[in-house]
Amino acid sequence: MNSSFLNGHELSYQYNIKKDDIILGISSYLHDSSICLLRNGKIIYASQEERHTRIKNDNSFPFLALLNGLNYLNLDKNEIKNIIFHESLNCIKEEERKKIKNRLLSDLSFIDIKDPNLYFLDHHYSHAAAGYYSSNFNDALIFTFDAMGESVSTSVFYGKNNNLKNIKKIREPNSLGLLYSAFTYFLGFDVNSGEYKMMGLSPFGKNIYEDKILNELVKVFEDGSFEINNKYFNFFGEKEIITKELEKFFLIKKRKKEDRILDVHCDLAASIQSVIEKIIFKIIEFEIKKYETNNIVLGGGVALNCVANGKIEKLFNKNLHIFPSPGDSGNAYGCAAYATFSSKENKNLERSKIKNVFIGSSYDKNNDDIISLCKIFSLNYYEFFDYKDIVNLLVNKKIIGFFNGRSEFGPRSLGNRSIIADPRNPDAQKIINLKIKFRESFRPFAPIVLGEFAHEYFEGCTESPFMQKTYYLKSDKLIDSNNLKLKDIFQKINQKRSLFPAITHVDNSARVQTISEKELPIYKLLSEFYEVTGCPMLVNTSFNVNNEPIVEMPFDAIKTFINTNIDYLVIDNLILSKKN
Amino acid sequence: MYLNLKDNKIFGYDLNVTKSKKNIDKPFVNKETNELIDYNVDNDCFLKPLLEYNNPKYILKIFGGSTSFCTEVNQEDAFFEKSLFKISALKNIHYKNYSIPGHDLLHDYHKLKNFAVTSYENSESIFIFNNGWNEEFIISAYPLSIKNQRPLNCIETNFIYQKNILLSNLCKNYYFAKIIKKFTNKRFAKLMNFYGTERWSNFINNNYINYWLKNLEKILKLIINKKAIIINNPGLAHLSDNSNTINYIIENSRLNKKYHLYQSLCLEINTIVNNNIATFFNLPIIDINSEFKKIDVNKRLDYFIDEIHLSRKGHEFASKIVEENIINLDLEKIKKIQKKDFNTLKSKTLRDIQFILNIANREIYKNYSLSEKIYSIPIDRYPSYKFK
Repeated sequence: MNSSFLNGHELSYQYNIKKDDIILGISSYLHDSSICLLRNGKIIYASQEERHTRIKNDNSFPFLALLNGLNYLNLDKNEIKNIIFHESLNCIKEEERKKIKNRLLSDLSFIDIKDPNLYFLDHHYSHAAAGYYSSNFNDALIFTFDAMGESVSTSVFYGKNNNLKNIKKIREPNSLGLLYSAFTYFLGFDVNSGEYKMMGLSPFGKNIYEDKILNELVKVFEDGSFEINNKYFNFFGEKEIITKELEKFFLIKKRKKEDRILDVHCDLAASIQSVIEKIIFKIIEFEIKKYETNNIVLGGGVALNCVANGKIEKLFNKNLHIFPSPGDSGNAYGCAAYATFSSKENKNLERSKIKNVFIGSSYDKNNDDIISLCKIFSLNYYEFFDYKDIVNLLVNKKIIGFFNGRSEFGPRSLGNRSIIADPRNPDAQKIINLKIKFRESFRPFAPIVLGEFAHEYFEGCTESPFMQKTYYLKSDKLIDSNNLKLKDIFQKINQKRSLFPAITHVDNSARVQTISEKELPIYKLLSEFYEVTGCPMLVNTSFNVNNEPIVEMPFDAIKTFINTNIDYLVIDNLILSKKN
Repeated sequence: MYLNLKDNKIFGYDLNVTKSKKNIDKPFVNKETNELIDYNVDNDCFLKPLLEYNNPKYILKIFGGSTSFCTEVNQEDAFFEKSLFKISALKNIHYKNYSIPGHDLLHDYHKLKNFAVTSYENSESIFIFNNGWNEEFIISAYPLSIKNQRPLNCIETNFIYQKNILLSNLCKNYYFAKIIKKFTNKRFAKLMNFYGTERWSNFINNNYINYWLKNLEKILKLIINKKAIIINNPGLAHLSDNSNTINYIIENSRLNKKYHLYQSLCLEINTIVNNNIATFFNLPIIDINSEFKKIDVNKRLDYFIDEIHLSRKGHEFASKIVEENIINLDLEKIKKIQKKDFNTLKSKTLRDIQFILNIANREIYKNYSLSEKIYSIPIDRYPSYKFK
């Protein structure tokens, strides 16, 4: 049988993390640098560097994430004895490896961390570990798909009794992540950040290029493995990620950022989305026949594709778990978790499923600094004691920045650094896209819904706490609009399709987040909103503007507030508004 | 360069009675006319007040650096001179400006200690302190200032920004100065730029605030039971500026984004420190900055010649603010400085500015990571280093 899969490999490293030891996981120098502090297998702090430096996808050493973590936990640097890096650096040239190790040591010494026990772990092991150890599955098949890490792009692992085994892998240049990024680029979006946009665009198009892609650009084997035709792509050169041949093949020019989005762009997005899904499904399907497990874990950046994730859950009828930050930032957790659970002393350490991602920093418990900032920025503020105050604003179509407690780890705002609005407001999507986030008008917004009501509104949705899957709105919530013949994307965007137009995408899907933790402010607000309106959901989008990281400190929130048309800003128990 | 100034080991430098037209640095050139600024000097080598001393009830003694001096405007246009001259009869006051460009609180301490406390003893002294910017500047240029008790002298300040007796003596010779400048300029540029870590590190351990408060504490001990007024000096860049405003300023001034952020953080720190000092000692504060903040950004640029020094229009506006505030102040009722535990003020201030330091802290690590070795500084930001 033809296949591009290679045999997996075992690790030769030994880890020695003792009970109660703190281990620091670091992911850096690629993209989305982050840190994670773990004790006894539990995350005590995790944060992405971009939140602090305000540089999107920042790949520098995560100094600020680390220092903020130490500060938040009131920990001394000297308490960190064990550090693990998310890559083993085994697959790169000796010279490069030395350079990275030296850089790592020099960065650590810049913040006075000297002579730690420094460990390394293979990149895809880190991805797989993040998924497996954050689940409560004893056994699971783990699939990791990313652009590439240490020359591997796809891996299959089997996890059982806290052990991970790499079964097989595919090496670059055959990479689903790179293929998806190449199309992202072809359609005029930025690589590494525009993938969401292409995914959002895909429901507007028709899957008419799938066969063409599978016949010429990607060859897929029986076991799901694949080969990419390098005539059309240039993944490792200094030039463009695509060659001119791709333009000739599709008979269209690469879209420039400022160009209008045409149907052909939507069709290409729909087609590549379908191709990626097909390959992933095939790989999973092939392996799942061989292993008796009810559990699937996904990892790697491609696992951020919530459209595919939703379908996997439905198609295979298995338990699906994805670490809330399956991309490189999550590897800080993955490598630290692997070192912990594979250490002799911790072999029988109990695992529990990750509950939430509010594991970053919180700021200013007594409001003094926020009040000082209000004075500096000439903002009105008042303390609120009842969530009804905020509900009234939402009902009156106000868009609100909602900032509470510890920041989220990962790419999504899940209620502590969110922009929220009434999903029944037909103008909310347009206003938030164009006047607040300054981004493309076609991009959809996600609903945050009280967990107990999710199944009433979304087909098959019971639990989705990390906004990782899409679900379709139930038919009784839709508005019949079949009579309308809509020609282009912009007409489709403005079409009212459901009772909740702000969160309903063009194909009636939504990237649902369920919330069930009653002590969280966003849960309390949602409950109050439901009491008043009978609607148990809100629009929830990340608190940032286009191409900026999600806000981290109150200062960032206020800066975003004054630079956008957000009507009110809630920071903990204060409501802020602009003068005039 | 201030080559027209005498070198003075205690006070740094004093103004020269006879102005030389050679080697004049920018602050001594009128921005509008390009001529030497028009100022007069007393026998004590500080600015001569525009009015005659006739035993008024109060003597207002002004301390500060270039922002309190007639930098790039004529003396009669500088805001302290203009306002206090105007209301002198009404308020029965005289004034004396001890400010000199480049002087910080350590210079002020020596001025006060040696003569300024007791000068004009027929009138009651009210001390006016306009501090912040120079403390930041000196700590940036010469981080060891925090440990040092001797203020930089003229040559040290303007040639090399480092205290070294041997080098500063050699700098008195034109040719040696030229060579020394060449070797020290690199270090200076590194310290003063906004892309490296050095200048941002100024905020670490609160060096500039500690320097400020440490010298202020020494000063206040000299003027216990005397009256004082705090001035909060304005700045061009505000933390509250929105993106459009920042872009406008960047397009129309020499500030870049990092420079804007740095200056705006300093301005907020200065405001908090000045307000805390005033509150703690129950002193009146004239917050010129808060009035400047209200000006629309399109107009704000006209009020400054750079990010902290005022243009003639700016001086005019500031002079009105000072004038109104002093008129409304009952000088009789100003409380005298009482002996208080300075540590209380210090710890409250350090706590109050922490959220600003957290923002600054980000830049240090960000810049370190970016490792951009761009040690460029605006050529007109600092003494020009031209030896022609």
